[in-house]
Amino acid sequence: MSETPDPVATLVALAEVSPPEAEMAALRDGYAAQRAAVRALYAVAEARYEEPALIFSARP
Amino acid sequence: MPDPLTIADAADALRDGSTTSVALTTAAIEAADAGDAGLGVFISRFADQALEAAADADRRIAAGAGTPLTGIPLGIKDIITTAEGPTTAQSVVLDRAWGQGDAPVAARLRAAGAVIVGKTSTMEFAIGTPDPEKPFPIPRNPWDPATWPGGSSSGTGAGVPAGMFLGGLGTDTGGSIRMPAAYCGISGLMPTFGRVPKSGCVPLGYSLDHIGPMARSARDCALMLAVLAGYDASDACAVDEPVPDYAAALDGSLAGVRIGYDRLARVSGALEDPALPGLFDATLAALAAAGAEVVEVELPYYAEMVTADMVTMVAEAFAYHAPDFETRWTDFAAGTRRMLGSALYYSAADYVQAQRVRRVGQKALARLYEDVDLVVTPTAATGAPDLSEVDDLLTPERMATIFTGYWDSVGNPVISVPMGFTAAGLPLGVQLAGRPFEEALVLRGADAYQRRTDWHLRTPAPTSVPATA
Repeated sequence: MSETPDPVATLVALAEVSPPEAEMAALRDGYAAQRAAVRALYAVAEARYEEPALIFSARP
Repeated sequence: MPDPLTIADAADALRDGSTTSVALTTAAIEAADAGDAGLGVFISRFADQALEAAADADRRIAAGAGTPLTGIPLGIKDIITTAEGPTTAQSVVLDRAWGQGDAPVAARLRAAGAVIVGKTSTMEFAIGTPDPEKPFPIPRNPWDPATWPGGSSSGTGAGVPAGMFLGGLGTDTGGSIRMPAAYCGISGLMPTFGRVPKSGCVPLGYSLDHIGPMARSARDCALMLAVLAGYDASDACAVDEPVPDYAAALDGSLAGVRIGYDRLARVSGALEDPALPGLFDATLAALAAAGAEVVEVELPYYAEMVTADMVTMVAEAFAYHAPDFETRWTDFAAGTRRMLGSALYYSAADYVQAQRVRRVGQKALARLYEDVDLVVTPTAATGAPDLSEVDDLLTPERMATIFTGYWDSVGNPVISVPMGFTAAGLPLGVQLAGRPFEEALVLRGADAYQRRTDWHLRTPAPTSVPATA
């Protein structure tokens, strides 16, 4: 998938929220570092076949 | 200021007749009358109901009944429902009709005879930073009202050293019990995830939220946990585990206990307070003097657990708030928007990956706990920040100075207790963490330390508390 020129604008539109421009700028400033931190989660080799720590029960 | 200062001593005094619950509660109310306008501890106060409950507690004690919490004035963070009135979560967004009656934890405290004096301040929905644009108090630190008490259990953290109650409830999703405990010079316990039912609490992170006690001492936290702990079917995450006698385990000895320590200076770097290394060394020495064997360790997957905590917390919170975000974005506090807005960075796959990595971290930590019984780290690398700089805490560099989120990701029990002061006179805290459901050992370690130190009994000078904000 090709990178959009402004991924933060795309994500904000997808969430249907409307931050003012100053907050959009702050979101853009933080984007690269946060994405790098998340990419590091995929680099954890032991997680390759790990089950997620999610809770689900057939009984509601 | 109530006298005695601790729940344990007050419980003894109530039974030997040297005080009454009405006297303790009146002193707490007077402390709040004098200091709350300046410190922003309370969202709402229940003075009349508290005095009625105190009189009832005195009757119970006179009849030889009650528990160690009977007659003890406590505060409850205002994201937990109580029968006295609406919960705000310090937000104009939360529907005031939400959450009628006592949450299980409030009901348990009330049944034990505790005197609930009011609902304490937080950050909006337990995240973000104080927002002067919103109609809620700005919490201030009793040790220096120009500084922040930490959050998000800000009011409970500030109210204990200010004498407005002897203990209270906080909640912890990324450190919201332990950060204010450290900044305010008190003890705060995050129990094992599922140990204390969290129903009746406005959710922040469904798979991370913990309710726990905040008070002067580890012994006080033990007395409160004995009441709070235990299964309740209303919380899908609650775990049906036996509740031990936590106070009975506090024998002052750590003989046979092996403690690993991680200074985490590699994480905070140059921002570490100069006083911290020496105080941390003294803490290790005190634990060794209690009989513990102390060895250096490195917490596994530290950075990954911190990232997983953040991804999980903001994603779960964004899902909860999404309908209001779409229509009422600017009704939320600026810090809430800034923190929860970062959820937009993460995909559904990222969220699931965070849960997989949490499992990896839990297993790696379990291997570490095959070698040691407790792990000790600083709670934060600095004392409380100035309120004028508190928004800077949301930058990655400053967030790295707070060493709490790791334990939310893995879910192990952990307590923060005071370990001294910065040169500016601001408290610093140290964390002791144990294996899942081994709160008794965590509390025993902290109590053994507090038998050899008096940091937890220090009280800020009343002159440092302004009469008005």
